[in-house]
Amino acid sequence: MPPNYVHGNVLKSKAQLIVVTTNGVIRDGKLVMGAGAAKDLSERYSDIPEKAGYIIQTLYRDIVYQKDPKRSAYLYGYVSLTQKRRRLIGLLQTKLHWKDKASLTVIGFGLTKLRTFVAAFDIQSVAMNFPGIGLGGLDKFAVYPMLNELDERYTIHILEK
Amino acid sequence: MPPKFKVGNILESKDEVIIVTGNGTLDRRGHLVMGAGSAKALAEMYPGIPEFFGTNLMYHSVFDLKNTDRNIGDLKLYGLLLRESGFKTEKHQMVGVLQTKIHWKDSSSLSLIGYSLTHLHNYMQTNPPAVSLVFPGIGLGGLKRSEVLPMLMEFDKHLTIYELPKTRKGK
Repeated sequence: MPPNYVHGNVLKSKAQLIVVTTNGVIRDGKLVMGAGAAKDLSERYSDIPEKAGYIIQTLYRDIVYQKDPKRSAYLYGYVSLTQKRRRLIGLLQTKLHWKDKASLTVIGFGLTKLRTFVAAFDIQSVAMNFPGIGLGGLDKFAVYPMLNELDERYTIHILEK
Repeated sequence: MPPKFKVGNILESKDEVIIVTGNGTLDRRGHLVMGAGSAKALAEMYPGIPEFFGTNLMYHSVFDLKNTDRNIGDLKLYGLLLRESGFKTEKHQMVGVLQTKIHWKDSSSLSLIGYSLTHLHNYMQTNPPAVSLVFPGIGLGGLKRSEVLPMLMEFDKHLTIYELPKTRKGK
């Protein structure tokens, strides 16, 4: 069974795991979450940028150097965080630097790690925003085939403009 | 400059690095299953290579996946076997494997190809060598060429992608 697609804000979902899309830039120890779904998440849980920054810097020590050194960033793909009341939050990387366009290979990297996590911990429901479109600049029809590999436990939220 | 595309046999490439596509299945002896496609052609050229890669998968950092198939040994997620786990030929070429599926019986997975290509992208970021890669996921993998192509277009001219004539004409 393929994943479900719905319109609406992913943060309002009651799924066991809520996943939002992010980049790989850490500034002053905090993951940059200044736009889109990541911004909404950081406004709801103000400790997440620092918590995520700490985990990423600790677990993924290698910075990926891009042709423009100012755009170098961390590559982590996917990380999970536990919030109050056992709320499980996932961060899915769609690009290296926040100024970059989203990358299909980086999205594939993150989705593979997310799928491994969901299988290993037997997560029953996952809500995530549609990765790479919107500020990511990708065409949704380029991302669809990759998302369609997910199963019915996943619900993809598309924001209505 | 985008990557280059060639129709022909990757094993005739003169590039410093040659990468064939593969799965994450180890047989009961701990050898990587290389029984079809470009991986089979490579294993026929270098008969010790399935054991070499299988042994590397035991020692290098990879994810072990749940396996319910009694006919095989283990299932691994590794993405790319290169760097310290690559195979050096007598022509001083480095040979590696890009993972496109987990079990050899599966169809290829776009997200897994993205995972593996991200590893390759990292490898090629600093001092990129000339790399030849089999077009991943099409042919026996069962994916459409048009679905995989956008990921390959994120690479530059240092990468050459090899296709067989029959897949070039396909989907």
